[in-house]
Amino acid sequence: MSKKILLDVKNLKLYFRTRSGSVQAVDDVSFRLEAGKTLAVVGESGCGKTSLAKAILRLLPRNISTYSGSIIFDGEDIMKYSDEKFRREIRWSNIAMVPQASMNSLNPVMRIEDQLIEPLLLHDRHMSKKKALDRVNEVFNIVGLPTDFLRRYPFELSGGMRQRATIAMALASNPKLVVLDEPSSALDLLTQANLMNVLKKIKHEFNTTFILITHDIGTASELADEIAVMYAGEMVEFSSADYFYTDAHHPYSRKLMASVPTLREDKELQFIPGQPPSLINPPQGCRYSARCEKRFEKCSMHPKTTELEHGAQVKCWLYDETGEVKHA
Amino acid sequence: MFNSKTRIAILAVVLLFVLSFGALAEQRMGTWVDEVIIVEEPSVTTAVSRLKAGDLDIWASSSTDSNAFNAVREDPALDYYQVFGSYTELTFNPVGPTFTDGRLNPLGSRKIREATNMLLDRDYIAQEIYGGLAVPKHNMLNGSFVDYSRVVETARALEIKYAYDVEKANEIIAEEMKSLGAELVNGKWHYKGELIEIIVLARSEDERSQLGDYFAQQLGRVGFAVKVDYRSGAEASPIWMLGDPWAGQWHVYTGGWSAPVVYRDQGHIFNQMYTRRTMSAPLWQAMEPIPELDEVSDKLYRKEFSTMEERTALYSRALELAYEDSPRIFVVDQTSFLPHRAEISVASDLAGGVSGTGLWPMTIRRGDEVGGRITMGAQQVLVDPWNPVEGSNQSFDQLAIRATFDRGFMTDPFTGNYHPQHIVQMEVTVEEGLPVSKSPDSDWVTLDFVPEIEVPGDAWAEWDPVNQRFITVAEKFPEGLTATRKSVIHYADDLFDTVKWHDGSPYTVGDMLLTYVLDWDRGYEESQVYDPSAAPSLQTALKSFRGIKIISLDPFVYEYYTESWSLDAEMNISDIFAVYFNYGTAPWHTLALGMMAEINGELAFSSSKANSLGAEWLGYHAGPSLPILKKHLDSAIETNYLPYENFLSDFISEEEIATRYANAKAWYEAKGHFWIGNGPLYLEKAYPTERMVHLKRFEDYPFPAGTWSGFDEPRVAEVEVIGPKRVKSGEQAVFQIDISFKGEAYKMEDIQEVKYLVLDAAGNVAFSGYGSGIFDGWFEVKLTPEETAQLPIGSNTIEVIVLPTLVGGATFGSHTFVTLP
Amino acid sequence: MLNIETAQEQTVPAKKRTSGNLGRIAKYTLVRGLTLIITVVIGVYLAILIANGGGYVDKMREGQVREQLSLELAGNEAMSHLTLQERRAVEEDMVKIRIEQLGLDRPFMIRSFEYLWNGLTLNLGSAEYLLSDSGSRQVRNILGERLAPTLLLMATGQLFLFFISVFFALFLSRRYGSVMDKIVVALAPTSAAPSWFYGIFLILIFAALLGWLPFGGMVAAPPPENAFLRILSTLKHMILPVGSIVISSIFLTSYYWRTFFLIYSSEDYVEMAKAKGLSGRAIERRYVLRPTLPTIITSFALTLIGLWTGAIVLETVFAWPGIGRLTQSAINMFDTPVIVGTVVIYAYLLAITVFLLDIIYALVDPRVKLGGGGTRS
Repeated sequence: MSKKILLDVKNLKLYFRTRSGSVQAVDDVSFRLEAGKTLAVVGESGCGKTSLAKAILRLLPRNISTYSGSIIFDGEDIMKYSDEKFRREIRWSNIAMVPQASMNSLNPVMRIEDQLIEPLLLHDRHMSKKKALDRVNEVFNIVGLPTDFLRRYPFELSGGMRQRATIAMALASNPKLVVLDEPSSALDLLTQANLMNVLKKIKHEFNTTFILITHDIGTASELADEIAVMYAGEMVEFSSADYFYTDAHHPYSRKLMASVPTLREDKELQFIPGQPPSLINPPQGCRYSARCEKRFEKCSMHPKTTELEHGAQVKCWLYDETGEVKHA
Repeated sequence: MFNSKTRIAILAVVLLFVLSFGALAEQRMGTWVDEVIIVEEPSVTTAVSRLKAGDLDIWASSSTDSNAFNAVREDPALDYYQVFGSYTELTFNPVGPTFTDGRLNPLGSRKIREATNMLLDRDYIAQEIYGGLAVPKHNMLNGSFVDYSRVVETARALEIKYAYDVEKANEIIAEEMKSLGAELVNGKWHYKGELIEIIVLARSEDERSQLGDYFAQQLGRVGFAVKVDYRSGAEASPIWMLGDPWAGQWHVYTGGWSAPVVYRDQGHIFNQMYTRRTMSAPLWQAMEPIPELDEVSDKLYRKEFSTMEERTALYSRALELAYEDSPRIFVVDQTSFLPHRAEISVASDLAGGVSGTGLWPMTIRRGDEVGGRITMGAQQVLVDPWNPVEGSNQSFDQLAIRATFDRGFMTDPFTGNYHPQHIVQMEVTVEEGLPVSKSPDSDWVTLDFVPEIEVPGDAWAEWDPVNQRFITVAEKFPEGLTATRKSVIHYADDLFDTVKWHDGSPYTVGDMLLTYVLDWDRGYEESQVYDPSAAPSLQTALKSFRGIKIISLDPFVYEYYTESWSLDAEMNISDIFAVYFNYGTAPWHTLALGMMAEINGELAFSSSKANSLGAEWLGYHAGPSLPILKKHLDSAIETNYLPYENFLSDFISEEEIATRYANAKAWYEAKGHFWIGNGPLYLEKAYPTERMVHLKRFEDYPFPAGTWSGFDEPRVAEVEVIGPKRVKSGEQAVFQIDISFKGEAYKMEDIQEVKYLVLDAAGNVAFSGYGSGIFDGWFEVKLTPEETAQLPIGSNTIEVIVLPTLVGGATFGSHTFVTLP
Repeated sequence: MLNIETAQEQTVPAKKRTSGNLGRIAKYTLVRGLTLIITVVIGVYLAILIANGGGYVDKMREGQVREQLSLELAGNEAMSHLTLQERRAVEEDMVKIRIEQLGLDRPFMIRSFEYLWNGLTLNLGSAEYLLSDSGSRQVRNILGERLAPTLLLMATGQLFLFFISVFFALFLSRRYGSVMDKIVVALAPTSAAPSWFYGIFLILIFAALLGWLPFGGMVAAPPPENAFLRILSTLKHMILPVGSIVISSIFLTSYYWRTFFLIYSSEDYVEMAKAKGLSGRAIERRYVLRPTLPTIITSFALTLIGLWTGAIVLETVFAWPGIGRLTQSAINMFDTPVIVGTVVIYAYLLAITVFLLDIIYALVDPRVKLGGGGTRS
């Protein structure tokens, strides 16, 4: 495993302008991801996971109020790139995305193979059509789709197949980083399992770095090397999967883990009372404190990010600078 | 003194001078302008903008739009001609006293109808509703036509009697309504408990909708509930004209009429307006005129009088009775205006505008320019196909058509009288006792009265379509035949030498005779070119026609015998130079082509025959007829075809036939159409889709430019009455009448008569008389001491009516004075 | 781990489709064709009935004939020697002749079927009142002579308008909220004024005030003989009316299409295309324009059919010899053959267009199959 840092995000902010005010969807997020690793970003609905993905890929809506921070990808700060440079050099060829509910991500009036070879021909001038078709056939095999479906139109495929086709599309240009947003949420269990297998296969064969955004921690466990937890627009915890699953740090993370059924244990499932706070005017201090059983006075101040061992980080006053638990 | 060399030199110089002067003075024949382009411009507002921008030189249609009128008046670069001829009236539903459903019809009562005359403030209507483009009209006479001045005393007296007075009208109406059994409830008339609602049918397309509103308002003031029903022409006519009046769907209708020519004799109109005799529509058949009115109208129509005085008496009586009966009351005479750029001058008929006179091509000119092009706008262009037998009768087409052909005579655009053109002399003989008179300046006409006119036995009485010859009077009326009128027409001596058709063919007697024969032939079933629509007019013509005899072929002179006659001797012309003067004229060879096509069933002269044959209506100027005519031309050339060969071969030689067709062929190859005329302008090309007509000057036209100068402007007299402010009763009083035109004194010989009326303070006519001419521009009215002694004390008005010969209408002037004891 | 290979979806193998296809297409064509013909027949017959007020117009026309004849004969001095009976007889004769020619002596219902049959077989026949510009009674000439100028004007104007607005709208949809976008939205209400309204102003400015362009008409007076100069003159005369057509609708139409494209631009696959790094142009063309092609083609086809009916007032304002004014005259005068001719041609054009559109949709949008079936999701 190479220890090269592929993605180094620092202080990433993405705020939207709405009629009610400024939505702080991604609020000062920082993390590092090594090449070849898979990061699972988990959290409740509305916590900002998808916005984070969009922020990284610069797929911004029109009503932005703030977009700042730095994203150092493979040694270069791509935040500084112009839109045109970003489009040509980063999008798809280096960072690809498989969006949420990608049933509708395929152009209904174009044949699948045309859509798949499109970015290949676009980003690599020397690619001939034949070579592109060969590559596309290859990825179809990888994702386990029969290649005669390439000549078909999207509406002729089922939802699951379209999902896989989109993933194939993302992989075709061999990007360094693939971001998958809820890749299996719309699929049945069988297909989900299949999908995970495919991703694992790709990960092993091609050493692709994945960011997997999901609210399903259980499924994520198969693939993830690192886990990041988002809450109310902030990244409250970032740690390796092993540690996370056995001993998560942030109280929220612990609660999350407690709510997942495990196969062999006889666990009493817990749930977290309350609602996440609005992203429009987030409360002062720790945003989780309202629902946290472990809260104390200091929680009314906004917690800093604390570095822990093994490259993990957490945003909670329970841990002081040294990583020691202060309160039980 | 001078040696021979010098003498020769001087002679040469003089000769050169004379020759070049002669060359310079070479007359320009035909029109002043070189070409005229007529384009379609349907909107008067746009026309005015185009005139201002110089895009158009003249807009040859007339308009009553007051905004456009003001725009023209205010702009010094523009000017206008006035055109009269349309008028508005209110027609009443005269049946009564009740409709079929029992409702009372107030307008069924004569007294009420008579009273409505006083409900109209005609000055207000003319100014406000018509924007000043109208003059009040009190009776069916048009103030600018001759008949008005003939009966002016009666007319004026009646106008005063029925002047605007709502209270007086109300009294009369109220009394009459009560006697009919109606009662006034809450200020509104009711009959048998029901509210009487008067329905005013108002035309929606023009000012008449406002007129309807106005009249409704006035009726409201005398206690009537009114409903105004706005309808277009097509919607209205089934109701008021054709519907059953007894059904009571309407009480009042805003009618309008137009007089497309300056009428010199309006005697026939009483019959049309007040009796059942002329129109068969249900409304007319329901009229019940006062018996005396009925009688007088008919007498006027049949001209049952022997002197002008008799006529005037009948006429005045008819006017009085017309008011008493009032099945219709008159509102305004509309004047419309015809805008043009100030530097353009042209003859414009007082009733028909530019398109109403054949003089326009010869008079149209831009300032003093010789040559050049005039761009003329018209509301519509190329409406119906052009053919001289029964082609387009639209005034819009007439504008161009009239420029391309001549008649034997020319109608005066201001007086409606006739002037000689190709006809140079006429002798009119009428039966004694008929009130025909002759204008003293018409020295080309002579007038005789004889006890009896016998028609010579060798005159032609009727055409025989089977044998293609004329039946003589002796054959048809072996017992002998008389006529009421005989006209001997003399055409110019050099007629056949100078007149040419546009394709170069010289005018020959064949052209006159073929059109004459064709006119007959079409009405007979046995003819190959029989047209059912021509049959009725042939029958009516036969009733008055007595005979025609050609006295000489060159010069062309003929005698015409008939039962019909006109009051003015000059109008007793029966011209065969241009028989179809409404539709144009054509040389015999193009008519022959048309005939061939009609015999073959491919084209027809009249639209009704075209419809029944399923063929196209023949148009010589453009369109689908042309290839068919060309085909027949080719075959005519081969066979040297002459229609009515039996008859015409005596007058048309084989050579002429060949030359004619050859000329036509050359013309068609050059111009692409077959409209060949003999007028001062020829048709260069007609553009039906683009709606343009291109006319060019005909260089071989026999009359010089400027022949009709003096007709570019109607010399309407301007009258001023100057006299004492105070007159002593019993002393002589002299009033001076100043008559001028644009600052110049009006020549005495151009004044027909000056009449005067003296009115008292109430407006009644005290007495009347004639003024006497002193010298050019100055007439005088002398009141003798006996006359002034009769004058009522107080304020009096002298009204003067000046009737020139140069225009058909009179000008009025007045002066108020006070009579002291 | 489940075997990927075995979990394949059932789909129809490609080879079986063709023969089934042909059969289905043939059936579709037949059924569709029949339906359209029936619709055309009903539509035209209704138009005939309405144009004649169910026969009421016959009475009005008879009235008009009588009125006209009465007036003509009343003013005819040659008739002055006849007695009333004679004159009545003459009048009745002439009225009868004219009524026969117009066919008014036969009951309306029978004539209505004749009109219908003639119209459907495009045997347009002769008009009852109107004449073509060159004087022909044939309806096909009446319509034909005016058709070319109308098509020229309307086609140029509408096509300009269509293409400018669609591409302008595409451009705008990518700049949502920009200044240009806001201006267009703000100006959209200007299209409430009809084209002739702008026409009048254009004439005022360019013809009356500046004198640069002609007041109206199709060609200069007199028309140049040289064909090339004539074409130039016609083009010069087309500038203002075409300008009016474009100006009067450009903002609203662009606004409409821009909103339309905006909606389609928010589709997921458009986002995806952006994520794929496609250029703006490419996205416009392939991801926005192509899926919306059916709608655009429909709009275009319907515009094309509407072209030939002309614009009555616009043609009047510019004195353009078009078919719009003709149709209006025909309706005013109740000239049934001309009205039927207009309606029939329009109906046929519409029917053919609709029929062709279905086929075009199938070609353009793979989700659509002729003969039913549609998308399968």
